Amino acid sequence: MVAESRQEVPIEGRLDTLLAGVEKAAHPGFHLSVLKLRDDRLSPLLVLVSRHASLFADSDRELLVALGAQTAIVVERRMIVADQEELAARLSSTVEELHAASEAKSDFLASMSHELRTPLSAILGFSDLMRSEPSADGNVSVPLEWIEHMHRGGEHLVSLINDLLDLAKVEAGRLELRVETLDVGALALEVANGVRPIAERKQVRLSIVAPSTSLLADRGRVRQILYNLLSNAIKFTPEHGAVDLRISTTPSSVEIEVGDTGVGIAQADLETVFEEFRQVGDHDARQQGTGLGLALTRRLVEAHGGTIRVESVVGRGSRFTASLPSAGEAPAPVAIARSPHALLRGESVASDRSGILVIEDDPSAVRLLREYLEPAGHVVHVAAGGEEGLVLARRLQPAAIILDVLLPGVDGWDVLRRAKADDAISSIPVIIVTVVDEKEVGLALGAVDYIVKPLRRTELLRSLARHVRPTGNRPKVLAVDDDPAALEIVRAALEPEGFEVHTTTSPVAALEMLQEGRFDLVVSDVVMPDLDGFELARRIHENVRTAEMPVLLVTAHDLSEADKMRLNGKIIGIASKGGAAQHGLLRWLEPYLPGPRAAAL
Amino acid sequence: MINLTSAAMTRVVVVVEDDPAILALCRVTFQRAQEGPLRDVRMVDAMDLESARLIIAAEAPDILVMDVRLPDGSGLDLVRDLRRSGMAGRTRVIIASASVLPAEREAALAAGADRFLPKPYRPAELVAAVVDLLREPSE
Repeated sequence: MVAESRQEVPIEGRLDTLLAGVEKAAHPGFHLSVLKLRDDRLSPLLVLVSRHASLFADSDRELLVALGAQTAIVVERRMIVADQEELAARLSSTVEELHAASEAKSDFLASMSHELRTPLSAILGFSDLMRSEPSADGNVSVPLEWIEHMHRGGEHLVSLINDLLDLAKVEAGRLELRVETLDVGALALEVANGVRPIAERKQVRLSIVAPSTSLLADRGRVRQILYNLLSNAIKFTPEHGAVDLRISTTPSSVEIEVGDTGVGIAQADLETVFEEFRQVGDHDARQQGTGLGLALTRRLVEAHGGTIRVESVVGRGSRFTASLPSAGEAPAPVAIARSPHALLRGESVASDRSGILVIEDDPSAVRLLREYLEPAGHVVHVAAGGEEGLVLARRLQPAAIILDVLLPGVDGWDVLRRAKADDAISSIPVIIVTVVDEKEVGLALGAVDYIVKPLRRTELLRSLARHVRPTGNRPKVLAVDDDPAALEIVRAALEPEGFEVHTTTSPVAALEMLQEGRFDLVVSDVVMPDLDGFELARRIHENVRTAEMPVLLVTAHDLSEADKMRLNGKIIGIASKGGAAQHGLLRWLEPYLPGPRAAAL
Repeated sequence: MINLTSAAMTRVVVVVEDDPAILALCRVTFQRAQEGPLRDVRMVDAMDLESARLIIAAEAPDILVMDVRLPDGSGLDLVRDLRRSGMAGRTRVIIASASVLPAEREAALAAGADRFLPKPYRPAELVAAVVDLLREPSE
C-alpha cells in the first residue's frame, strides 16, 4: 500500500523525527517500511505501511522502487512546472504594470489633447467670428465679451503649459526652492481671496481658518500648493456645497488642511489620486483639469520634505492634508497684528509692511512685474487705476509702491503727489516704472527711484532691495571692519535705530557668515588687510545667494575716480567715517530703518 | 439652398455644453446664422445632463449638439438613452467633443450620433453640419 499525498509539506529536521510522526499517525500494530528512492539527503521517500511486514516480497519492493522512481520524476517535473508557472505569473504582472503605465500615458495624452483643445475652441471660434464681422476701413467692432472669452482661453492654456513644465521640472529633479520665512496664514488668505470668485459662482461656501503661522518654505510653491488644493476642492464640490481651509501647527509641522463636501473619492482610488496622469472616477464625467494638479501638489509638498494625505467618503467629501515640516532653526514667528477676518472684509489692518502695490493699468506690464517680483518673495497687489491705487495703499500699507505714470483717469504724477501729501501713506517708498523718461520730475515729486522701461529684473529687484527693508524681524546688518573699535561705533550708531548688528573683523569670515545666515545689509570698511571693501562687495555680488545684497562702504578717505569706477552699480553708497559718522551712516541706511520712517529724513 | 423660411418651420437646436465660453460661441454662431442659412433656427442650451434631459423632453429638438464630458456624466449616455427609447426619432445628433482620438470618435458614432464635430471647431463648421442634417431626411 503506497501512501500518496498531493499536499506538499515542508520537511525540516531529521528523517527519524518525521518517521516517528508517521508511525504515531498510523494505527497501532502497523509496520512501516521506508525506501529511499535516491541516495541523497533530499531523496523522495516511499513509505510502505502494512499490518504484516512479511507480506512484501523482495520483488515487490523492487517493483515499488522502480514505480517510486518514476513517481519522483513526475513530482520533480511538477515542481519545475510550478516554478515556471510562478515565473510566468510574475512576468505577466510586470507586463500588466508596464501596460498600465503605458495606458496611463496614453490616457494622459488623450486628456492633455482634450484639455488643450477646449480653451482653443474659444480662441479660434471667437477670432473666427471676429474675422467675419463687417469691417469698416479694416476695423471691426466686436463685443468685449468675445475678447474676454479668448483671453481667458489663452490664460487657461498658459496655466496648463506651466503645470506641465513644472511637473517635468520636478520629474527631472530640477525644482529649485527659494526658501524664506513666510506667513502661511496670510498667504492662505490671499490665495483664498483669489479663488473666492470661482466659489461664489458655484455658490460654494468657503470658510477659512488661517492664523498667522510662520514657515520656512518657498513662497511661490506654497502658494501653488494652496491654490491647487483649494481650486480642486471647489471644482469637485457641487453647488451649495462647502469648502474649508485650515492652517494649524503641530510641534514639528505646519498642516494645511482642505476639506470639501464634494463627490468624494472611492477607497480603491485613494492610492492613485496623487499619481501623475490619473484622474479617478468616471472617465467621461471627468472635470476640467489635466490630472496634473494633485500629482504636482504632492511633488511640491515632498520637495519641502513634507507629506500629503487624503481621507474621503464617496458622496460626502474629501479632506486633503499637506504637512510641511517646520524648521527647527526657523526664526521666531513674526507677530503680525492683523485679523484674518478684517482682511477678508477688506478693512484697514495694522501693517506688517509686506507686499508691493503695483499701480499699473496694462495687464502685460503687471504680468511682467509679477514674474519679477513673486519669485523674489514679494507679495504683489495690483491696482489698475490711480484712485484705486491710493485706496489700496492706505488699506494695505505696502512695503513699496510701483507706479506707472500713464494711467487712465488720474495720472501717475497726481497719484505720487497725493500719496506724498497723505500722512497715512507718505512714508511708503514709491518707485516709478514707466516709458516716460522724466526722472527729475519723478524724484522731485518724492519718488525714491525712477526706472525707464523696458524694465530689467535685476534693476527692479536692486531698486527694491535698496528702498524696501525685508519684512519681519529687525533688519540684520553685518558690519565688517579690521578695527574692532570702528565696529563698536557702527554698532552704537545702528542698534538704537532698531538694527540687529553682527560684526566681524575678517572679510573672509564675513563671506561665510553671509552664506550661512540671512542678512539684510552689509556695512564694510574699505581698507582692510586681506580683502578690501571693493573686493568684498564684488565677491558678495558674484554669489547668486547674495547678488542682491545691499553693501554700504564706509571710508576715512575720499575715493579716487578709479575707485568710483570699480564701485559702479555695486554698492548702495559710501559713507564718510570722518565728522558726523553716525549721521552719515544713517542717511544711507534710512530706507532700511525699522518702523515708520521719519518724514523729515 | 433649403427652405427654412416658413414660420411653421421653426427648428430647434439644443446645445449641451458646460464650458461657458463655448456656449457663448454657439449662441453668437446661431444668432449670426439666423441672418443667413439658418433663418428659423432657435437655440436652447443646457449645461449639464439633468437639465439637458428636461429640455430635450420639452423641446423635441431637430438638432442636438452634445458635449461628451459633462459635470454629471457622459453625453454619450444621454444619446444612447435617447436612441434606445426611440423618443428622439427625428432628432439628429452632433457630438461636439475635444476627445478626438479614433476610439473616442467611434464611441460617439456607436452611441447613436449622426456626426462627430471635433473641437476646436470653426463656427462655420457647426453651421454647415446643422444645415446638412436639416437637409437630410431623418429616418
